[in-house]
Amino acid sequence: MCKSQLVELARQAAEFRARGIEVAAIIPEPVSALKAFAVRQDIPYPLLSDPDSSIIRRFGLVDARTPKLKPEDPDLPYAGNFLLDADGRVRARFFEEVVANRRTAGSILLHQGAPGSHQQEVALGHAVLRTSASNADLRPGQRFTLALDIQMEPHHHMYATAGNYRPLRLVPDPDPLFEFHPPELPPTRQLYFAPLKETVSVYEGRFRLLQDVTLVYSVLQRLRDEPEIDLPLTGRLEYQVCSDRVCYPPASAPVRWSFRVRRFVK
Amino acid sequence: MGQRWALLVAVVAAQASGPHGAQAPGGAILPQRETWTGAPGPAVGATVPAFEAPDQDGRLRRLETLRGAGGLLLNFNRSAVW
Repeated sequence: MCKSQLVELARQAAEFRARGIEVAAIIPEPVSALKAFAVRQDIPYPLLSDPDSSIIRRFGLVDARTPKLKPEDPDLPYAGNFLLDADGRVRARFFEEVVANRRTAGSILLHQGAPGSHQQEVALGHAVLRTSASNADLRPGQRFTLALDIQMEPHHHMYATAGNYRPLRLVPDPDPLFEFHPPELPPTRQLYFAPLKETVSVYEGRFRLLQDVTLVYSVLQRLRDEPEIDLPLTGRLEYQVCSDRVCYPPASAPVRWSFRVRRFVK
Repeated sequence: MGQRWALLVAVVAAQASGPHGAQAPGGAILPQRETWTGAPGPAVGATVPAFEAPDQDGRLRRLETLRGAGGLLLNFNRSAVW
């Protein structure tokens, strides 16, 4: 999964650079090993050699959860990403609790506001939904992100909290190959609805809902006989639209993504 | 550690609050800062230690010159071999 992460990062490097963000990886291996991999996989960003793990130790990132096979083996880091600003301060950190899991660079981009790939548009009543994903190709253990971008008609809104209305919610169909994390919901506005003398939390204008998903490791079993498979992810978006004057019935719309799942990079 | 929690709470509060708190100028949602806080290392808001290391071509690279105008995505990886 380590090499798979470096290769996925290579595919996204240009997108980071377009945002002024450079990309680099620190690896506890000699230059010769990094060179061979960089040539074979056409890696366009610096792979930095830290063969004695001194940088990893200076960052305090040694991961003792994975035992060394030999005492002379280098200390391994917690595998993850720091997003630094231009002054070297940490703007965000992306680490995974499960040792074998890796968040994709594409997921980090989506969380920075980038558009996703494989966009599909669905007309909802008085709103347009555009679905996309951080990655079209996935490998086992990768954490990726689904984006649902919604554009409301003027003077219309959706609901954030349960109560008298159906709140906006992505309901994925159960699938043992996907682990769903808590969604990242858009900011809300407090709306006072005079006819009913009530205050409700609503979404208006243009907003984005992000859903992180981990493709669990056991998908490897499906890849035993085939080098790659197509894996759909389906579900529904529940919502309710009201305007300043009219409330429409609770509704739901089917949503669907499709991924190409491959084995690890050899 | 206490400082990291305080930052995290502040970020969560900003994301949960009203129309302006969670929105950057231009309407973009503030991106998430951290999902799993169990990993050690420099916290959100901290400055990372300076370092220099050779890249795959043997050229010595330093943190200051690796950064772009918008910053740096720094990946810590376990292996390019296995």
